[in-house]
Amino acid sequence: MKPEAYIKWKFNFLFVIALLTVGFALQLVVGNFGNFLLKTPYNLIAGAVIIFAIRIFHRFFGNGKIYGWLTSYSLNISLLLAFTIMVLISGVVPQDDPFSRSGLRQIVLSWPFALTCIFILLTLTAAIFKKRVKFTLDGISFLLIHISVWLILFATGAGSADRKRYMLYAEEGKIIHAAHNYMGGTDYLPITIQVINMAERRICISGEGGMEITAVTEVNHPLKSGHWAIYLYGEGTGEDGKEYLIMKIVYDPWLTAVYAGFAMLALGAILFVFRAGVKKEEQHGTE
Amino acid sequence: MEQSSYIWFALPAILLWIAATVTVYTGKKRFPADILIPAGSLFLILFIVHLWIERGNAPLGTMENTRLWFSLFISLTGYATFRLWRYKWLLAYSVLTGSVFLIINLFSAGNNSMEMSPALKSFWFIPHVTVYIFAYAISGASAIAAVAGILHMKTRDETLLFGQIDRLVYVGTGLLITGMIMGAVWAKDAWGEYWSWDPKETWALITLLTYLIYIHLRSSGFNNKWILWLLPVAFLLLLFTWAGINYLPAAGGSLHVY
Repeated sequence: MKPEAYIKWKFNFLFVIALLTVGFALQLVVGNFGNFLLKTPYNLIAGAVIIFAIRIFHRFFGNGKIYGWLTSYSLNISLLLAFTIMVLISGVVPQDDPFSRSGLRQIVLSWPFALTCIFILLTLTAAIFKKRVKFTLDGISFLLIHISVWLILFATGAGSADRKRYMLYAEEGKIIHAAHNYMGGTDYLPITIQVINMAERRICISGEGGMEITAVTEVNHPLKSGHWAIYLYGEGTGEDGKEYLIMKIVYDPWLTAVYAGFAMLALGAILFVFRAGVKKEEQHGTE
Repeated sequence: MEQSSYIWFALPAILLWIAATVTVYTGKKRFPADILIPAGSLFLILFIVHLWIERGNAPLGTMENTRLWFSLFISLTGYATFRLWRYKWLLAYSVLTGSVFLIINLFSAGNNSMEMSPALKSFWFIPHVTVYIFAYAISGASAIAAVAGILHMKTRDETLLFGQIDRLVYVGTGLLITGMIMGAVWAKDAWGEYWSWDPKETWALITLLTYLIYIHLRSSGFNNKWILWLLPVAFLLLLFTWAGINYLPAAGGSLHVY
């Protein structure tokens, strides 16, 4: 490795360590990264600002040092390494405390994780704008994979603020208006759910505007109504001997965006496999 | 029932593979291997078909089942790379690895049959598991090639070997990503979440990220043989994802128990 490349790697490695240090300091001082700050429309605004700002930056300073730094392998690999280490921590330390002071027992809600993701979004945006569109296997798979990772990261991260999840225990006949949320409380739902026939697992969902669906619930076959989906989890018997169905209810307005990301990523990955058959043994890096 | 007949399929497969490897090293012609490797693999395919018919559903739900598919895929991967690049050692190591997994199944206390849980009755079950196991086999071959590269880099053509290892990594990583997406879509239908940070998912992501670090390092122009160490490490992570996560403190309540 050339001495100047070595300095670049060292600098970016230290930069990412500094970013994580700031993240852990914020975590200790203010607690978890509050993703409630990213509820619609703020998440949409944040996404638009990232894209617009980087596009403008690329237009006027695309050949400059800072843009070059944002798209450098040394910075991006250092960020990827930081992300990997945090996922590794979440794979070793039980992730069982949503209010973990250090963030280590709920890494994905922590500041260092959020800051790393934000930086990865910035560098991905910069890399996408920098890439000249070439209609080769290499060029198309690069764009598909990087744009889809951006979309998935953004829609799952910034979109998580809009997602709602509930568990429901429904006996036959009872009309249910409220369900348990994942923070230990109960919320009123904009839909009502009723188990019509326990043996058949037939349920009825009524929504806003008089919409009504009656259908049989099955594992692997959720019932969907707009951005709402109902999943059959199982069944149980209460202390009074009455049977009930256990259902999970999810509201996710970002699902279409996530699935669009999945489709693009799958296509990019398949092209990537084919690329292996035609890839020449060339190096195109600069560091 | 299946366990008692297993030996009559596994042993011929192992013997044919060993015979193929011996002929590759001792003979001058390639055609005995062209017959013996596919013939050995055919025994495994027949056993898988036999299991499938006996059970009435795809034999993919247990550790024994996945080891069986892995043995089949890694032997075929070794054979394909031998046909493409004439690497005898890669064929030999692939066949050896496949045989070891078949032998583990011979002595495994588990079984090859399993009642399907409702969540497994999905369109995604077969493509998700087979694509993953195929990715495991290709990644295993890339790890073997990387170790050979580390040991013999000076005596081999460095650029050629790196190029061939990269090809295996590209295919393996592309398949890992495809398998992960299929798993996510399936998980959404079954559990309501496309990603739950379940230990299996978390470790699959760690494995994938390690391969992505390797790919980015190679694209950055890194030619240093030390980065080849990432591949055996990634393969160990992969094996851990496959079989080791149940021993973790973070693995309590994993939805991927089999």
